[in-house]
Amino acid sequence: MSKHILVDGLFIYPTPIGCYYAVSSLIDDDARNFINQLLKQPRTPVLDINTLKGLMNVESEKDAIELLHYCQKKGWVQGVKDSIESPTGLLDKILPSLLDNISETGNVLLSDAQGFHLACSGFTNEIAEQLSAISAEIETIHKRRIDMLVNNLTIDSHAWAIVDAFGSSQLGFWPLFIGNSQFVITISGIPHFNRPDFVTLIWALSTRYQQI
Amino acid sequence: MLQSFSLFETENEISPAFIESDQNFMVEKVLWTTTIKENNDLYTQIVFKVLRNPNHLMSHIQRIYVAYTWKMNAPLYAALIDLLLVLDGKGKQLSNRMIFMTRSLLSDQQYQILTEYLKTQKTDLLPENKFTVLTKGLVGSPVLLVEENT
Repeated sequence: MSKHILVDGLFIYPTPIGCYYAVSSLIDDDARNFINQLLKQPRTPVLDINTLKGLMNVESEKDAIELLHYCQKKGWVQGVKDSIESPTGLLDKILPSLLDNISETGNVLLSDAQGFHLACSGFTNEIAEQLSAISAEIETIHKRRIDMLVNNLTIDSHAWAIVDAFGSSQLGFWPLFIGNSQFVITISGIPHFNRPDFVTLIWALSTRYQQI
Repeated sequence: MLQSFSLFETENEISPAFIESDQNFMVEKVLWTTTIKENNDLYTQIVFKVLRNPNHLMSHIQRIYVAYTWKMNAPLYAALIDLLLVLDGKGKQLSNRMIFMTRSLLSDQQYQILTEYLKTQKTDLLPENKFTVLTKGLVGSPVLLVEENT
């Protein structure tokens, strides 16, 4: 018989894919809630059973271990040896360099659901404003058609893209659902959500826009 | 017969092929696109090919070929890292050949990292860069729970 035990001396930190999972949909599930709780913390929490139970909002040790095991299997969480503090400072100071690192071309824009751009890398101001407006319009269309997309076509992604003849994205729009706020990341070319900077970006937004 | 001085030399002359080709590493054309703004367009198409089917080795070779030919240092290093991750310790001859023959374009540090990996096969010794697409972006250990027999 075997049982799972926690590794000593680690702090829990979401992975880029875990962050993407957490903020790419509004559907409520235990794993998504757990990662979102991690992203609300001002620093990476220590890996112990009581902390886990609190973050996961579960009573039993068994449930906490099972959920952590599931997240580990999915590659959504990782353990770091030293605690990391959430990004501090003004968003408009820290966001542009983070955005730059999640795209190959460096052309990235972060805007809100109303079509106002919050931070930008690479695009000119004028283009950024136009793209922010487009992203808001796409979001309106998506909301209007989401039932058909999910129920009839079983497409549960919220992202939209302008594609070339091969179906490759020339310009992509990825909504981020953070607390009650919604943002859109617009990327020209190949997106790199697999970068550690994506975690920092989501953490920076979550600590400011998610209610604890 | 293969020539030792060139990475992609073959005994037969190979015509440059379209990006969709899975037979030829030497892709130079993008069908359906009337204008190619710059080399980056072709490189981008190949990276999307790698993303769509990460286990398709020909796409990796095409990516390395394009990055090497156009002297794109950071993308070349990223292409090699992504290839090594997909091979996961297998295909040692292919890995060796790709690294040793692109050495002229790699920095000393990049070359050292890649050759060290060939010896140890430890993926945590493979630092990613901005252009890697198959890395997971981990800064810690993926293992938080271990199994213990009781």
